[in-house]
Amino acid sequence: MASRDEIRALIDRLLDARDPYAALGAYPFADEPARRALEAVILATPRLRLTFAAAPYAPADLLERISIDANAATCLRLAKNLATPPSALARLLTGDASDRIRRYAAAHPRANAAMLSALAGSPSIEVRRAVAGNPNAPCDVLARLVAEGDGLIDRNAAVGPFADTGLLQTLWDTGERHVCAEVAAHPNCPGAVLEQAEAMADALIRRKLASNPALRSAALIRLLADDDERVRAAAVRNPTVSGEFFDDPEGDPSPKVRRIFARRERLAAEVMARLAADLDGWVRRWIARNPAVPEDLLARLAADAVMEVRRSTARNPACPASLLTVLAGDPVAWVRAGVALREDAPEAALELLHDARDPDVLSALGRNQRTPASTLEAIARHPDKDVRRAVAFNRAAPPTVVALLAEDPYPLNRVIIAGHPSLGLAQVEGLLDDPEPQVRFAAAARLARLWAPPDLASGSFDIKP
Amino acid sequence: MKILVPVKQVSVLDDEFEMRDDGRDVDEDFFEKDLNEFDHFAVEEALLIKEAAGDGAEVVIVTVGDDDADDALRTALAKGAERGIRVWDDALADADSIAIAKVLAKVVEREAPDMVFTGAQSADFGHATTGMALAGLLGWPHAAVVSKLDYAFGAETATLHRELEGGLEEIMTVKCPAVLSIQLGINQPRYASLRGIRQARQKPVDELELGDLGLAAADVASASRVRRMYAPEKGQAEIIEGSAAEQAARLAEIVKELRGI
Repeated sequence: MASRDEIRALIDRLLDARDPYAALGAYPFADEPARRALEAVILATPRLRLTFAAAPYAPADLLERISIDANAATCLRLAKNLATPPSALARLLTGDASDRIRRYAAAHPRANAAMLSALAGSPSIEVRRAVAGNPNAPCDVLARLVAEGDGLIDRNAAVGPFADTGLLQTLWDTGERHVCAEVAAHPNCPGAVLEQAEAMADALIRRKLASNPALRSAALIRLLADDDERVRAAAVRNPTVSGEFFDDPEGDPSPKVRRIFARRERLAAEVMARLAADLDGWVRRWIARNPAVPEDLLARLAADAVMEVRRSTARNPACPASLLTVLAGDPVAWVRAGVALREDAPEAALELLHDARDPDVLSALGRNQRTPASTLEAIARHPDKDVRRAVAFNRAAPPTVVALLAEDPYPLNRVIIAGHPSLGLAQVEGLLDDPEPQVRFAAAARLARLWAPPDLASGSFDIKP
Repeated sequence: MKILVPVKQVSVLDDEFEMRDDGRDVDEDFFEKDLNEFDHFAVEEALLIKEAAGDGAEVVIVTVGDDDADDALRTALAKGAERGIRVWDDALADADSIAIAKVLAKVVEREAPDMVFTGAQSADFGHATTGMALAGLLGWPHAAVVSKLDYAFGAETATLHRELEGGLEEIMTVKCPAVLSIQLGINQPRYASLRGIRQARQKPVDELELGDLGLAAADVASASRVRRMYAPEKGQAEIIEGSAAEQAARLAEIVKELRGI
């Protein structure tokens, strides 16, 4: 609900308080004139400029503003900050930027093709290597760099998403085995190279080849029968492999291969039955999580000797109410906590858990939106701050319980509760005077988002419980 | 029934920093100020003993520092200490740990506590000398790096554990009053409640100057002076980059170089 008067009053209050953190919270939701005024508070001292130049939560517009007259130390922080926008990065590179700044800019995920092309001409090998390792580097830039013959540049270029068939062929022909392995894994790898890679004696190259999503099914089927377990594991993990490719993977001698296979959701009933009896606990754990597992098999897994298998059964969305009730009485708290997290758990199961004392079970109940208010209130008063925090994440927690957490001694719990839908606006406003800057930031962001004009209300912060 | 806890507001460095123009410290734009981590544990230990004793017991926090140090003092008061003392004089601007101990000794004489708990060391300079220097100046029994403590008000002795090298632990008894420097992990420091933080703003803090303690600037002249602070040049350390094969090859080269073969 946008209100021009309320956002104006909020910004006036933040300006009066001269609180940089609360001002930062409101910044993305303020109009241009208000932003200029807030900047005077947010960037009032060199210390604050340095702090926010390095802050990944700083809005792009503020980082842009900081970059306009940044000194060398501030430029370095901006270059390292992943939130810095491309226009600010470009500004850092004008003039006599140090190689260190150029190296961070070259590795920056928001560096664009033009910037990377210019940086590729740097006399510093570290900068050029960073360009080659940037996933935004265009193919022509990678090709220029590969011509240098530097091993690290070659390896970085071989994983570049924009490396084309021609460049990959060059790298295959000239690179050492690690470069060739990356070429074999690349989706743009030339067909002829794929065939050569399959015939290589080097298991590293076959392993990387087996992970290539562009590999043809015939080759994948052959790699599924490779002598090396790591190659077979990579092939089983390949997302393009469908069930009919497998001959007998549940009988694979390597637990590593069987574990990866057991993660697949689409498995035949008889295969699931065999994997549920596997000697390896991780294999049974993955099967226990599979929502397609039939009830009789889940019942067997719910009685498994390994607690993590029983926990996985409790977390399985298809676990029936009767089994959840059994697991709610499990001797291990971690398993009972798995049931306590279930919002579809039957009353009988939740009743078994309401007198819980274990922190894991209490934390899970604290998050469960079906937990009664009286239990949530008791959890919100628990001596352990991490247990209390679970209630802060519960969006169904009633106002009386949420109000308790607004007074929580642990600052992070107050940060989270500042965004809780059940916390009244008067209480959120009260958090603007909180002693912790993160809490004031969160409270200001919540209010500003609520009252901002529609075109600004979707500002860059996302603070939700 | 009183425990005195000296605390310090320390500097917490950013990842990158620059030195001051005089080269004797870090430029203050590059660090935050905070209550010394070790002092959280000393304060907590004092509060636990006070709370076990009930009415009439008090914990008094003392710090030597300028106005900025009020934040550290109030942080400790917010946890439940009764009152604070802040001592400052411009003559203390470059005070070393012995000079600070001289000031604290006068505060101890004035307050006459049953015990003094300090943090084992400060997180920024790490001398670990203030507490023990204070004990020396007072002529009190002392123990450093205390990791477990059994003491109640009125007791003539305190029994404590100390961490030694090689994982050894020493159990000793000291006569009281004593100065103990408290190690991390002896307890779980509490977070101050919001109510405690608000109350701390109203708690009494005595602001003293050297003259109030019967000291003159010459009495707290430091016996040591920081001449220069700097990040040392990188030595022979080398980060080996490249593929596993390249790294192994480089490692073999280094071994050969060092062995002269």
